[in-house]
Amino acid sequence: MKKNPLNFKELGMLNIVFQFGIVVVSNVFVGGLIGYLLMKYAGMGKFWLILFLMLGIFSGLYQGIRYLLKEAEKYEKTDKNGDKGNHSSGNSSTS
Amino acid sequence: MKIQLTKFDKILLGFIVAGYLAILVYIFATGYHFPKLGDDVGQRWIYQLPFGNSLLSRVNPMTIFMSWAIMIGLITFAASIKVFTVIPGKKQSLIEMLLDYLLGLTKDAVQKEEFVRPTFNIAATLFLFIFIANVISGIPGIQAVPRNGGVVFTIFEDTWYTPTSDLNTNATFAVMVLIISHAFAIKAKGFGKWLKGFFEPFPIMFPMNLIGELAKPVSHSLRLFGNIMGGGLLVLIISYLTKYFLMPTFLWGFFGIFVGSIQALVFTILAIAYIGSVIE
Repeated sequence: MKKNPLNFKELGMLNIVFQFGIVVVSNVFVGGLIGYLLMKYAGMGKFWLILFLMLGIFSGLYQGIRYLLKEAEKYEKTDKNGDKGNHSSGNSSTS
Repeated sequence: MKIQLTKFDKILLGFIVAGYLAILVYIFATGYHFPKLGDDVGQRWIYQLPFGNSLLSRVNPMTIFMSWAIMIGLITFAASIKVFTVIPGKKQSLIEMLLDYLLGLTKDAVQKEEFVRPTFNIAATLFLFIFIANVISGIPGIQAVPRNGGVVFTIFEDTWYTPTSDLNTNATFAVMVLIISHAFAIKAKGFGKWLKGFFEPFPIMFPMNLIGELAKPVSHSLRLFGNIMGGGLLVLIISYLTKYFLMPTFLWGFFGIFVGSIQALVFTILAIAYIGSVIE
């Protein structure tokens, strides 16, 4: 069977790296935002800003790695059914 | 196809229309002057409502007009497909192909059978709206431009104004997806089990899980906003190099149609994935 020149699955693989970066950055951003809001409006000290920023960094790495593991698991699963699965996946997308 | 509205829909739509009418009456009563804007890049026409200076008192009128225009266009298109037949016509096969692909994606990501249909409805609605909104940002049309210290409407000088280049639209969609996903999770797993999900794998991970959940709408909305708004700004800046001769056509095609359709798909896939991952 001739290979499809534009494969959306491979474009999706490229997206994983991008997505990992975005997950890390957005977690750090949200952690910093919570800390800043606590500092500004709740009158808590600068310690809380640093604490929440650190929490954001940890959370970002944790969520990012969890995301990568989940994606790896997904691709492993599709690879296992993949050899004969070119037909079955084609069928499932058209049916 | 006939459009059917429940009583709740009618009441909700009535409230929205009444709100718009109230604002229109206020504008006609007080007389409207276009705001004074500088000639900077990325300025917008913003209307200040009479509720003081809080967050919800500013309106971006072009976003509202274009959102309604797109919604009405989609509804007219749906209504123009008269009957769904066994041998599909042009419009019907276009719609069926598109929605079939989305249904396949939803079935892959959402494991529980009874949540496939609602998730698909949300995903398809989001996709159709964002897709149209992004693609018209690659087609010349009506745009509100700050010029001569005011706002000027131009036709065919710039692309259509697109609601997705306004963060309010994207943030609304992203927060909506977050709330819907957790509502589905509570419905699927029960309140206790859903709450317990935040304390996995150890109770000490609670703040990280919470920040991770709150970060979802941020990345979700800012990705779409950044792609569309950044595309628009890049077209403007690069076009200065060629003096609006040839470059904008190519760039509008690239940023509007290519990047726009990919980002619409990515937004939809992420919405499906967020809902699917919370339900599991």
